[in-house]
Amino acid sequence: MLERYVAKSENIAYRIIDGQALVIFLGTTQSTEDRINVFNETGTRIWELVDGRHRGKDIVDTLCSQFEVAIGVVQEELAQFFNDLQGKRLITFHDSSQR
Amino acid sequence: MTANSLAYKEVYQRASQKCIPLGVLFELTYRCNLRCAHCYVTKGEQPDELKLDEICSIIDQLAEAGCLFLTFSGGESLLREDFFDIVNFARKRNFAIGIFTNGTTITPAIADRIRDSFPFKVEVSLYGIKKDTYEEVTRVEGSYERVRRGIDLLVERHVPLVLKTNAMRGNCHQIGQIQNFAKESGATFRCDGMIIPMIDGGRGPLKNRATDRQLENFFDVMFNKITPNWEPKFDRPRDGSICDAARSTAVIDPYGKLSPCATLRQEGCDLRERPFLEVWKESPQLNRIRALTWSDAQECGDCQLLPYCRHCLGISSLEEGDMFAALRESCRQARIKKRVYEKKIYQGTNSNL
Repeated sequence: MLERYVAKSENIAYRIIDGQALVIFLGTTQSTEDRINVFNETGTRIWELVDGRHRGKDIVDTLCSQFEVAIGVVQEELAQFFNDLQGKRLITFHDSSQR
Repeated sequence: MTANSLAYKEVYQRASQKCIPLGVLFELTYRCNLRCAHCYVTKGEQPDELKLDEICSIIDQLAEAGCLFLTFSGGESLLREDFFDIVNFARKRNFAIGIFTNGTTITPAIADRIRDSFPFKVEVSLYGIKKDTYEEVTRVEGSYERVRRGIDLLVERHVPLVLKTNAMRGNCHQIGQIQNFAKESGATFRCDGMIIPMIDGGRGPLKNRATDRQLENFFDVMFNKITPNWEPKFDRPRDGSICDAARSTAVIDPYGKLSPCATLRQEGCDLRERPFLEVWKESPQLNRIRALTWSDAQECGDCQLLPYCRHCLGISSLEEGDMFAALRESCRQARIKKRVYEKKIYQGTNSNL
C-alpha cells in the first residue's frame, strides 16, 4: 500500500476549515452524519499530501521529518489510516503518478 | 452522536465563531414555472441575472473563503440553461453541492445529469400527497404528475434526496402521509411550520399559515414521528449569537447581492462591485448582524417560551418592522409547541409508571 501513489477520490467534497479537513463522500444516499469525516491535525496534514503525486512512503518520509516519531510507528499508523479512508472510498491507489 | 458528528459540530461552531462562510445559499434565478401561494420571492424575471462567468468567479471566491456546502436555489434553479455548467464548475472546486428544486422539470436526461454531478443532496418540495392539495399550493395544473415523475426519476438513480414541505392551512392534514411517502422512497423528510412574508415585506403568503388546531396536530406528528428526539433549547446565553447568519451562512441573490440570510436582505453588499471576502469581512451591515446577541433581543430575552421559539431576526424585521421585536407568529407557534411537547413528555412519564 505504501509503495503506491495515493490520490483523493473524484466523488468527494472537502475543505480545510480552521486547520481541520472536512471530507465528504458524495456517491451515496447514506445519512449526512455518516458521510462527513473530520480529520485531526496529523490526518489533515496527510490529507494535504494525498495528491496523486506522492506515494505512501513519500508521505511517511515527510511526516517523519515534521514530527518526531519512529518510522515504524508512522508506517503502521499511516497504513491503518489509508485502510480506513479506502474503506470509506475517499482515496484511490495507483501504480503511477497522477497528473 | 458519533465521534465524527461531534467533531463536525465543533468545526461548525468554530466556523461560526471565526465567521467562515461554511454554507452558502446561491439563488441562481428568481424565474419559476410554478406560482406557489406561500412563496417569498417577489422579483420574478429580471434582465440582469448574473452571467455564467460572474457566477464562476463568485464560486471561486467562495472556495477561497472556506465555503464547503454550496446550495443552488431559486426561483427554480433548473430553469437556468447553464445550470449544469455551474454545478460542474463548482464540483471541480470540491464543493458539497445542494440543489433546491420543485422537481417538475426533471426528465430522465436531467435526472442522469443530476446523478452524474454527485450532489451532496437534492431537496424537492412536495406540498401534498394528493393532486388537488399539491396543486392548490403550486397553482399550476399538471404540476403534481410532473413532481411525482421527477421524484421517481431521482429515486431510481439513487440520488441523495430530501423531500420537504411547509405546514400550511391547505396541506397540514397530509404531513404524516408525505413523511410516509418520503420514507418509502428512501428520502429524508423535512417540514417547516413557518410561512414567511415576501422579500419585500408583502404579506400575501401569510394567509396560508396553519390554524392553531392544525399546528397542534402538526407538532404532534413532528414530536412523535418526524423528530422524536427534539428537545427545547434551554442553552441560549444572553451573550450568545442569535443565529449563524453572516457568521457561517450567507445568501447570494441572482443579481450578486450578498445577504446574511434569505429573510434578512441587505443593501450595499454587491459582489459585482467588490470581491466576496472584502464584502464579507468589511461590510458594516454584515458586521452589525454578526455582533448581535440575545441581550439585544430585549423583548424576548426572559420569555418562558424561548426554549420552544424559533426567533428570527429577518422575519421579525419583515413582519414586525423591527428585527428585535417579538415575532407574534413565533410566539403563537412556541406556545402551541410547548403545550404539545409537555403533553408528550407527561404521557411518556405516565406510561412508564
